[in-house]
Amino acid sequence: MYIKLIGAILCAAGCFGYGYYLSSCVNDRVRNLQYTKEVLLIVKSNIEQEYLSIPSILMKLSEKAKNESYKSFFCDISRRLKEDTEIDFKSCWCEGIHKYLSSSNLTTEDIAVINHFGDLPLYLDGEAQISQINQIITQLDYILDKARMEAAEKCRVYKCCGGAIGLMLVLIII
Amino acid sequence: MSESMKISGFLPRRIKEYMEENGFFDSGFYALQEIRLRVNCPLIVVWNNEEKVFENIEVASYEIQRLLELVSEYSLYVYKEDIKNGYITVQGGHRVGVMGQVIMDERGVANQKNISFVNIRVAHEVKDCALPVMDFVCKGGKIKNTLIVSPPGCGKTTLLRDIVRTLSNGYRGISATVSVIDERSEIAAGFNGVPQNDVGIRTDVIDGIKKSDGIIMAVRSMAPDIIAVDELGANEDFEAVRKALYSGCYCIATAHGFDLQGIMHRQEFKDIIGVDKFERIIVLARKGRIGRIEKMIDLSQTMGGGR
Repeated sequence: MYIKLIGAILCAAGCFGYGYYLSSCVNDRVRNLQYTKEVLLIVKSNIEQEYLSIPSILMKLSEKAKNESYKSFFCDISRRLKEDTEIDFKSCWCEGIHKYLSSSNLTTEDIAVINHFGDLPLYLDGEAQISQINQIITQLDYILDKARMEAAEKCRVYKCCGGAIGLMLVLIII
Repeated sequence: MSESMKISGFLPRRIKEYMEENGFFDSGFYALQEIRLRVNCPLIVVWNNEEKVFENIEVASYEIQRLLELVSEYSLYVYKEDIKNGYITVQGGHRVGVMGQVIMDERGVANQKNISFVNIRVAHEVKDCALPVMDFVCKGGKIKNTLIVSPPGCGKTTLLRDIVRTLSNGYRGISATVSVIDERSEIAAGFNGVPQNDVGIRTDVIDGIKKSDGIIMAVRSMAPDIIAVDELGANEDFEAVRKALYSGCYCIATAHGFDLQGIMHRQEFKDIIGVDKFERIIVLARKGRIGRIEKMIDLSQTMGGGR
């Protein structure tokens, strides 16, 4: 009887937990997108106000980033741009995304938008960079709105399903 | 990072490897003066006052683009103002001159595009090169306003930098507070605000500012004994130098010209050269070893008087 009870509790906890885990994954994606947007705004203001070069901006971002993957991502790109004289910005950026962000909760669509940052016309003046960044921010805003709506729905579904399956298993076991 | 790496680091791979093979970045670096790159033309290197043309290395357009990317750390927009002026100063004080198609607007040069001509001028810090002129610059324990005159590439800035360093560190009982007005970051070679060249312990550097504005700012804020300024040329530079002299600062400056007679054709120079103004003139030789002193003219002797 005790074994049955413990098994039922474990099953219920596992199902609830899994539901919460799935919903936190969805929320992580929203958080990552939100952070990417903040990063772009910081880059924009650093270009506009401080005339900093891209490697210096990325180094600054790596010092402030709390998320480990983003920290390593910024640090690695900045270091490679400074040290590797054979690489171009676009391939360095795309390789960095592939290496550090592809395993995150970002979707292929999200990564495609972030990849556009590698297309910055760095040989042109500051205004050209700003307008390109604004374009990426607009695209991100669109994805972010969609992701937020999806997250609200999915989180509820995952949590409810987790709970329901857990209860069902408990009933079956008992 | 070594001085040679500061230059080789932004050269396109083929050119870098070729120059490395020919020893320009190790034993030959001390005499390397210029690297000239022109699209579809051979690589030209000026070494020890001698031009070397490498016919087998024809510079391609993409190599110039690559060089600009590396010089600007992939951020050419940072250097828009510099490109308008025709040069970018890089770490170590080396100057990369650029020329291409100029874009004009109602205010003048707005930008340059399709840059196809690059001249990398290598800056060499030569410590103690000013020793032969130091007793002339501060005779009898007093600093004299001094003007260094020579055509481009003869060592004016190097000499000025060493005079600044020597006076700032102390020379025969004189130790002066110096304000360096470094419009093109060539004297102190400031990088992220920190001088890369040794300019002495009592030297303040104001970097990247118009000379005339920098002189006034330094006089007001840093209370210098000496103002050091490179390449006087614009009318407002002379006005600012005059104001600095009236405020009781000494001034050590450089100017482009072949000799004293040559620069005295300009009224602005006439107004600032003479007794109680710039009374010491150092003329550098345009031929032979860089920095060779051709003449040292003491106007207080030739014109009489002096403070």
